[in-house]
Amino acid sequence: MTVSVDVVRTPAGNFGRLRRGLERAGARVRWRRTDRWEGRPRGLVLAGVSAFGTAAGALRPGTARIRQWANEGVPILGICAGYQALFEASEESPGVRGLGLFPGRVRRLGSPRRPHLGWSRLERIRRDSWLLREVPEGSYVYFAHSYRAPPGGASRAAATAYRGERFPSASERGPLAGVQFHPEISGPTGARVLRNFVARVEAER
Amino acid sequence: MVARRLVVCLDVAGGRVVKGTRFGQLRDWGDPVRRATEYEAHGADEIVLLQIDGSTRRPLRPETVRSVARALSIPLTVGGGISSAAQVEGLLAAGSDRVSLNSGALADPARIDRIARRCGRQAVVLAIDVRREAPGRWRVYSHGGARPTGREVGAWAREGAERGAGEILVTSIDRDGTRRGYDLALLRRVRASVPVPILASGGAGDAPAIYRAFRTGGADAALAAGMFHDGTTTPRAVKSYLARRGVEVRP
Repeated sequence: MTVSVDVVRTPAGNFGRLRRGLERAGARVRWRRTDRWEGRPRGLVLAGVSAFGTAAGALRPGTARIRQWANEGVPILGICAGYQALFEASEESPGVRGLGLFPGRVRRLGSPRRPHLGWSRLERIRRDSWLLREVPEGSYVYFAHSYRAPPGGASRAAATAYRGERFPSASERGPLAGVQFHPEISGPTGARVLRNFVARVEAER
Repeated sequence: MVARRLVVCLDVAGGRVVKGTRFGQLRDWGDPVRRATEYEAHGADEIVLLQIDGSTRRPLRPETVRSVARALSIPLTVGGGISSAAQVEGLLAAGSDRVSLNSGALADPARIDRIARRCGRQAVVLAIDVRREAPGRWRVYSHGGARPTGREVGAWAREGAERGAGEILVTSIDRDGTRRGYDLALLRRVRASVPVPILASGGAGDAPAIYRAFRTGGADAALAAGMFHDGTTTPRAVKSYLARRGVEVRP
C-alpha cells in the first residue's frame, strides 16, 4: 500500500521532479489546487519557486486549514518558496502577509552574490528532527534562492552558511516542517529527507 | 559556503547523445538516460542537455527531457533552440530544473525578463558564446558561434543578469574542443561584470584546468564534456584532485 501525499503547487516550479522524488519515497502524489482547501490530506507538500508574494498569496486562503491540519498531526512540508511562505512576512514582498506558522520575517541574503545556487552543507542538525533523521551532519543539498529564513530559535532543524551568513535551512515544529533546499534534486540526501517525510505520513495513518 | 560545481554537458541530436570535435563528424554515443545516470553515479553535480540539432531550431523534445529527469536525482539544465516562455514552461514541466537561453535571448533580450518573471531567476541560465577579438576583448556570437552580434561579453552578461538570468554560462569558442584549458581572462572579465554565479565552458582538458577556472578565473562551476566522454577521467576523480587542493566540492 502506498500512502497518498497532496502537493499544493504554487505558481512555477519543477513539479515533475518533485512528483518523481515523492514516488520514489513510496508515496502516491495528488495535485491540489490552491483554491481547494476542503478534505484533510494524509500528508501535504507546499512547493514552488516563485516570489514570496506569489507563493504566500496563493497559499494564504488555506492558512486556517493548514494550521488545523498541523494541529491534528498531518505532516506538512514546505519547500523553497513554500517554506518561506510559512513565515510571517518577507522583505521580498513588503505588505504581503505569510502564513505565520513559523515566526519572523524572511530576509534577503546579505551577500551581493545572489542567488545562492548550488550544493551547500546541512549543519547543526537537530538530533530529534524527524525530517532529517539519519541525515549525517555536513551532508550536501541543493539550494537556489536569494532570500533566507530568519533565525529560527526552537523551530530550527538545521542551518546552512553561505558566504559567512548562517540561516535556518530546515525548520520543524511538530508535524510541520520546511526546507529551503530542494530535496527532489539533492541526490541521496534529498531522497532520505523525502523518505523521512513519507514515513511520517505512513506513521500518522 | 557553496561547493564548486562540476557540470557535465551532453550534446543531443535526434534524441541521442552525440560526440565529435568542433565542426567535425558527430558520432552516436548512446542513450541520454544511460549517459546522464552514469555521470550522476560518477559524481557529476549537474547535467546539461544541449540540443545541437541546428536544423530544427527547436528545443529538445519533452519526452527526452522527461525520461532523463525521471532517472536523475541531481539538477538538470536543458538548452538549445529555446525562445519563448511557453517553451520554457513545457521544459520545466517535463522535468528540467533550469533552461539555458542563447540566440533566443540575443534576438529579443526582453525574453529573459519574461521567463525569469514567470519561472523564477533560478530557472534561467544565460549562455554566452564568445570569440576573442583582441587581448582583453571578447565579442558575443549567436547561432552556435556562426553570427557575430557586436556585443561585448561583460556588457551582455551584466544586461542578462539585470534582466533576470540566475547564472551566466560563458563559452570560449576559441577554446571549445581544444583541451587547452578555459580562457581564464575571459572568466575574470565576466566575474567582474556580474554578481550571479558563473559557469565556465570551453577548453577543459584535465583536472588542473578546472582548478584554475575556480582559483584564477573565479568561476562557480565548470562545465566539461570531452575529457569525461573519452574516459580520460571522471567527475569524481577531478573532485578528489580539487579537494586535495583545498577547493570545496560535494563528495
